[in-house]
Amino acid sequence: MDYVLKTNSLCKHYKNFKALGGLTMHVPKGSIYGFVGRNGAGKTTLIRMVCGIQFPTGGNFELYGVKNTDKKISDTRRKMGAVIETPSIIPYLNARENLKIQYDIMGMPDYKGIDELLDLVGLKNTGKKLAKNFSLGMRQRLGIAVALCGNPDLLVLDEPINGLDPQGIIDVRELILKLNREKKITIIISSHILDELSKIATHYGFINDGRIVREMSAEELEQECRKCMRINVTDTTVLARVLDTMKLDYKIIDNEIADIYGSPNITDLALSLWDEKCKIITVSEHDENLESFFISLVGGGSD
Amino acid sequence: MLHRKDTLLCLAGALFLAFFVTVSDYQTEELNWFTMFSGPVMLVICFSAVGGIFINRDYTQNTIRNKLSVGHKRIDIYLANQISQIIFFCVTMILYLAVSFILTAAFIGTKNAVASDILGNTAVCLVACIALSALTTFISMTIQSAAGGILPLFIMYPLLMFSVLVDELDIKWMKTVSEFIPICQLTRLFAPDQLACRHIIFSIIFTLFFVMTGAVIFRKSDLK
Repeated sequence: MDYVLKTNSLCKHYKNFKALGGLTMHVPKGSIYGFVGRNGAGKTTLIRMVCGIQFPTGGNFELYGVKNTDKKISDTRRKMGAVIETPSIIPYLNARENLKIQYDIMGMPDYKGIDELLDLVGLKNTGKKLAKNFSLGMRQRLGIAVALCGNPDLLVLDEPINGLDPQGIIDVRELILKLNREKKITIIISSHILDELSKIATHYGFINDGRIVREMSAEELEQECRKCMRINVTDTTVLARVLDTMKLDYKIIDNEIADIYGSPNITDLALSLWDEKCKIITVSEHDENLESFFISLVGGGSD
Repeated sequence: MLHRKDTLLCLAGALFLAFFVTVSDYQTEELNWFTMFSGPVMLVICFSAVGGIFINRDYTQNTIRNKLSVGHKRIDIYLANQISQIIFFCVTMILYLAVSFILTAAFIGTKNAVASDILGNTAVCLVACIALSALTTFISMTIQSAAGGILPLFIMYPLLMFSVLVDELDIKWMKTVSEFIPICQLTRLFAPDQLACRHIIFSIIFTLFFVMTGAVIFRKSDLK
């Protein structure tokens, strides 16, 4: 698989604080990579390092196969755009002027493409309205437009929907999907609004205390989170044997609990277990969403 | 910088000051070929404030990220800011001096003008401007917060006070130190600068020190 970004035991230590403690992650090309973690888990620190705003204190990362210690990393960063936390826009300029400034920063030969960008993010009709008078959603979209100057292959969005109203969230979501599907842009999104993330992400990286706890594709997550029957029995070894005989898909959680997928015939299952001297204690329907999956991964404690 | 109103106001202020200083000196019969050099001290204080705020904008509005995340090298960003400061400081100062020169020539004629003295003072003034622009860039790029925009302005006042103390106290080591400080050099341009070459060299050293130190610090620093 082609990876746009690979990190290898990336560390960031401040004097008395460890922001990243050996983070290893892989962002596949063409994916929408949802970067999930609590506040202070290290999401923004990682993004800052990838963007060259901060330096790692240990480990390394590769952007399009170029190591962060390589001199070519600056040139490689031209393939990416980023909106980190708040959109980086100039408030006393209008949308078009903001994009012109970014075109100048990038040394583009002309301003062709600005209209297309404004149209793409839905800010074509803002005219001379200054960015400081924009709504939060409009500012966010302008920030994305600025990040899209120069047609990047990789877009990094840090908490892009924080503080947006429902319409703003829909606008940004649709824009992200459009960029990924139509322009084939790989997108890394950090967020803790998991429900929203689950609507767009194709891959996930779960981060906790500066480390990736788990990386998985949306399909794998769906597999993990799919509807199942949670059964509590006296012996899951026996249960596993019975389920194998019945050719059912299952997952053993511990010695007494297991998840059974599909729709088993409860009577047959109960009778088979009875024959093996295994009692059923409880049976319940279990349906895990991204939120509960995340909590089960990182634990439910406070920040 | 041309998008900013404060930059344009500074430009207009410099032109107004040139007109005001020359006309008022002419009316009090104090006008000579060196009275025009009374304005640069006030101007560089204004420039340092405007220049500092201009650079600081990158940090308060986080637009520095737009430069870094698209692959600009930190050294290039520092030097680009330094160059924009030099252009701002020098272009405005040259306009001030040019208008002052034309008005002075119109009022008292060029009969008593000694070209070498005026050119010497002008060179000292412009190189001092470059040195002070380096100090402004250094402070703004190192502090990296809203304070970094205002601090250059506040730094100018103690330097100016030091210059006044040097004249008042007449202590040798203070005089020697003041030779190195560009704003102190500017306060002594009311007469032909007999040590113009030395002052220019000191200002160049001052500039190089702050540009190189600032660039090295910025290259290694973590930003927000």
